[in-house]
Amino acid sequence: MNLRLGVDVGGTFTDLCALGESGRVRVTKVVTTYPDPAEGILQGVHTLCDTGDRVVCTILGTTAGLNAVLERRGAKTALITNAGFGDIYRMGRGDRPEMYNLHYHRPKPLVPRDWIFELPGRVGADADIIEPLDIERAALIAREIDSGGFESVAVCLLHSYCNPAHELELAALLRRYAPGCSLSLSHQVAREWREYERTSTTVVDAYVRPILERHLAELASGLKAAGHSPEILVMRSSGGLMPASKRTLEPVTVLLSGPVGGAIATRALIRELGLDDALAIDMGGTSFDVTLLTGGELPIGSETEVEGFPLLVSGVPVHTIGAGGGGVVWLEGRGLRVGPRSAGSVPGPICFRRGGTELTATDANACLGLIRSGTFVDGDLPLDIEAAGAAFTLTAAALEMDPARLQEGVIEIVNARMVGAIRALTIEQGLDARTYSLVAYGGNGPLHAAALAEELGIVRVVIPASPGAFSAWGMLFSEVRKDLSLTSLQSSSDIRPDDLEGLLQQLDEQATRFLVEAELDPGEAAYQWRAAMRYQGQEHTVEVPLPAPPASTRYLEEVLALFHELHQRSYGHSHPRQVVEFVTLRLSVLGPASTPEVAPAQAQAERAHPKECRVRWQGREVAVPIFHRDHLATGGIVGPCIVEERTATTFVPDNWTLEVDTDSRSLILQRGGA
Amino acid sequence: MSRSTEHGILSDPVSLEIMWSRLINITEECWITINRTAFSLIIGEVQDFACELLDATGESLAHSPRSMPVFNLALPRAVKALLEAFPPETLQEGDVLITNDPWLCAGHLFDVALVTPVFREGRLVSLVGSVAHCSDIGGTRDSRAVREIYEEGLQIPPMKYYRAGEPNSDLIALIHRNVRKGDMVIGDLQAQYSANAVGASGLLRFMDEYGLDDLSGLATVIQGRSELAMREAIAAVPDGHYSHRVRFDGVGNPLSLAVDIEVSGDELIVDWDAPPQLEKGAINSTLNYTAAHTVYALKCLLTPEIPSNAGCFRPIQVRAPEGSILNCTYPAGVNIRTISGWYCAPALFGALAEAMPDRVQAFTGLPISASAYGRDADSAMYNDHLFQGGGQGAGAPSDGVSALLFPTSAANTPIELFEIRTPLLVETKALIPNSGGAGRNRGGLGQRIEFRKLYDDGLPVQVTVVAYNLTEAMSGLAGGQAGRLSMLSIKEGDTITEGWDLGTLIELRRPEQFATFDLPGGSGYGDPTERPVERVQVDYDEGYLTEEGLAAYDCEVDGGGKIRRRSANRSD
Repeated sequence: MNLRLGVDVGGTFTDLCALGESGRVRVTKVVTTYPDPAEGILQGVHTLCDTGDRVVCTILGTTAGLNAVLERRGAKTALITNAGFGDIYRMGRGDRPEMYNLHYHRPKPLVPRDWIFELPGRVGADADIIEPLDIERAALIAREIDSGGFESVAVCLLHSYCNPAHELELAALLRRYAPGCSLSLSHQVAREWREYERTSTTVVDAYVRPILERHLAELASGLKAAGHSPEILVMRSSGGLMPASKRTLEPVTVLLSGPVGGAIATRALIRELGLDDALAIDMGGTSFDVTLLTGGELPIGSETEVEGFPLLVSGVPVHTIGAGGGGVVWLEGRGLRVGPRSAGSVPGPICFRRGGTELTATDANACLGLIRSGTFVDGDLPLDIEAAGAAFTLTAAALEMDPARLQEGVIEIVNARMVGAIRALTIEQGLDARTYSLVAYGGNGPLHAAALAEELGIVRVVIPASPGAFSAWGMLFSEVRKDLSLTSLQSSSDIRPDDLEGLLQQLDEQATRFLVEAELDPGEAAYQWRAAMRYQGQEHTVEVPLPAPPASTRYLEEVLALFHELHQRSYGHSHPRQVVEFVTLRLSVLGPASTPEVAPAQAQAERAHPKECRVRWQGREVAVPIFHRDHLATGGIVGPCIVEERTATTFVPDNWTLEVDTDSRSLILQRGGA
Repeated sequence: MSRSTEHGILSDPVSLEIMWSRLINITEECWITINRTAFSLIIGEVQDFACELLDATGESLAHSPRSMPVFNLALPRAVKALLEAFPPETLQEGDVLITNDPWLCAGHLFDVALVTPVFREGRLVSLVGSVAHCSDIGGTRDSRAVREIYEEGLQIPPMKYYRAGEPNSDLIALIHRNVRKGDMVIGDLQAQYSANAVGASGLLRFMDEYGLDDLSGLATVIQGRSELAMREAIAAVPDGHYSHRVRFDGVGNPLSLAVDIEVSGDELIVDWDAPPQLEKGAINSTLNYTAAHTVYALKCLLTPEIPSNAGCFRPIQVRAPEGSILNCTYPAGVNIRTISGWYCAPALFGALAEAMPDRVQAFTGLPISASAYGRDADSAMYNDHLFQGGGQGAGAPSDGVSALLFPTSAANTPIELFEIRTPLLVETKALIPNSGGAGRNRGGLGQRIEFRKLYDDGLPVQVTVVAYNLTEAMSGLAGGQAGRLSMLSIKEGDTITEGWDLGTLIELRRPEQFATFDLPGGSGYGDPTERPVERVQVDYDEGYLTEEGLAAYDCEVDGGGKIRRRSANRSD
């Protein structure tokens, strides 16, 4: 059978989700392998496939690039700048994000100062060549980079957004004299002004490019060797997909792709369920990610950042805090703290018996009876609850409190931090969380979801099928996306309709080239046009969605009217008689969306008689029925109860009821049995 | 009514946190509105502005997390003065108040406060304010020559910028005519006006949502919480007097400031001793400006993590002798008051260095602002700021950051944008090796900015430079050394003109003239000979230190590029 495969490579686990032509969904989870994550993925593929199965397309979301940045394990990268400007990258914008913090520090640079090369030659603000590129010096630098063992080069020259000639000349020399090096040119990575932000983006791109290229090449050849198609699409931070060929790879755009799969899956799920507004929460072992979907849409921001490094690439804003099941319990003075540091999967929580010696939230859940040895990961990971209990007893003695109260306290603290993160995010946008549904996934999301909802005043919780592999599942719902831009300052006082159309035509041609390279039919692609515009003299721009050009002979006029209207709506004032400037024109091309057909759930048996276990909940020991998810047919079950499955455990508190949505195979929890 | 609200708020700590963050978020929305719709580089890129919410009495409730610290600390005084000039019962919906009085607001005419009263059911419940450094305010570009404020540009006493929703077109026309690039200045004021409107409607939505008739209960609670945190932090400092004196460049002659901090229980009095105000040179600071810098530095030391509002500053008193450069009297020249006011923080840090060794920071090399003004070949006028930072002072925890802006929270001007706006070409923006003051923890490095005219068109470019640390070095803390001084020069062929004075006005006429600004390094913290050799090695390898900079660390380099300590060598 032909399979489409979604893969989510996380820091500790790799989740895989395969969808066959029959609509049958299969999932599995393997430990992420280092240094080559392809090894783990191929293992997972092997587990998922029966004889005769063939993977025809692999869609990959990966934190490999992000982790390389966070752990400073990226490629040995050189940076080439204009002579006299090598320190731009280290100086940044000179600001302090926290105004009262005297001891603010910048993130550690990805390129040390002695790996920065300066090259004479200069382009001016009006695109003129003020000083020609020093070709001899450029060749020398290229050779030095070649012999210096560099794997990657970032090039960022001043004003290359309006005239990339010098960057292109230099690129030709680098390809000739340092052919083994990956190359990231600032005008290709982020064609926008502001030299520090563009440099930062380009450096990150260069820093992760060889790693991603290697990772993808190994995966492709492994897939091929196992008889599968080597075709790979990579998830971008913006939620679109990118063909993984060397020509089309844009590493910096995939940096934050890990959590995006879950957000996309949430979008598909809430549309299916007819819900508008949802908070997607992904709680794994190390982190807690929240994404806000309002009106059934994914928000996409035009700039992102990683660890304080600005990135001029669009992305779905995912708010992450260190609060996962592996969050470590520690004492500060006589106060109890949990996380943000995580015990990860190795050494892991004490109850995993992998050498962990620090108590975690997962240990607390195990002691409270909410997760059980024998059924946790279908019994593949036995839990040593006694060891965890003993450790709680010791810590509780130090705090002079009851161990059971301490266990509950740990969960309360973790929940409070997650609630805080959700509140901060919704409040920041002036939204009321109570009107949202909570879609909870990741290994730990379903266990904590109802408690978070209680605290937030949310009345509906949705637990998708295979919550532990939901992000991998989401990969199957995305489409190929390419963002193109062109910075060209044009004034409404002298631009002619033809000029604007000519510029948009250039973008259109680039889009066609991309689609051909990606082997997609331009007829099936969707085009989204935007223009960054401002009033003459203004510093920043407003991003105006444009109708497809040229809609009419009055296209230019229409566009200007749209700008005034949007400026009025966004900032409360507009000046229809003032001169308007076009700064950057943008085009996003979207390939055909995939809408996989999924077979409805079939309960393996009619609501088998549940088992029972004792859990501690809100200070009391209570007997709670336990269901296996595969045995739940329709629901209509009144809490408290626990639903177990391979990738997660769901807890339904006593004033909640549980329904099963057969089409989407998700669990719907309603407060107060509504 | 407010009593019961206050009680209700206190009884639900979660709601309090949410409400408090909501107020901060409203100010952040105001901030974004100004930032995104501003016309000048100094506001749009350098971010020289702040937004604030105040209670009906003009006391601060919350300010934007990114703020010019001094602005949000100075604004409450301006708001109270505006309320005195226009008592609440005379205000109407749609009124917007304005002033740039340096004694009431942020110390010089460039900083304009725009304040929008917010009404609910006809009653004043709050004021939304912003202070922004406009790109020009008229007057001379040569502050060294200034004797009185009349030469510094347009003074706007407390006035109405809007009356009942209608722009005060007389005032707007007057401002437009009196400043360089009037469209830009009015455009920025309009951005402030819009931001205040955004804040006012956000605040009313917030009050609807929480069913608040006024903000007094909430104000009492959150100001009380911040006050308590500040009192606890002060109480942790041992009682007693802490004093320190700093010397700095004046106009012509060096000047000095002395501070005496009296800590008594949970209160603190800062007493400044400063020379008489200068009759010429515009470096005088108004008391409001001095107080803002004083409480800003103290807040950084004492409660950096607590959101700021009026409560934070109730336990702190600031005094300075009337008629001194830290409490000058009208009509003194004040335009470049940063030249005195920016030394408040280092003096306070020096005074508290022993009492709070882990918190203080050695002297940070002060930023240089250069504004370029003229007309291009098409007669279009330009007037934009190139603002860059020096090296941050080191502290007990770590080295200073290089090229950082302090005591502001501004950002530097991107070179590409400066070049788009002005006919100047920047030739260099680079760190200066060995410029960080030596210490167990090293001061951050200063930077060199070099630029010239791009076109040989004979048109003059006027550059006004405000610089510091040209002659007076500021030693580090706990045995750390001073960072490198500032230097300004113009080079043409073999001729180098150096040693400009503070607040210099220079004129560039030919592309062959290269203007160079060396920004100062930060001072070090702790004895440099205690800096581990490995860290000296890293600095050497990365070019932060060259061979000549090693002596300060009692280090030398061998033929293989390896650093070793000299004294250790000798003892072998």
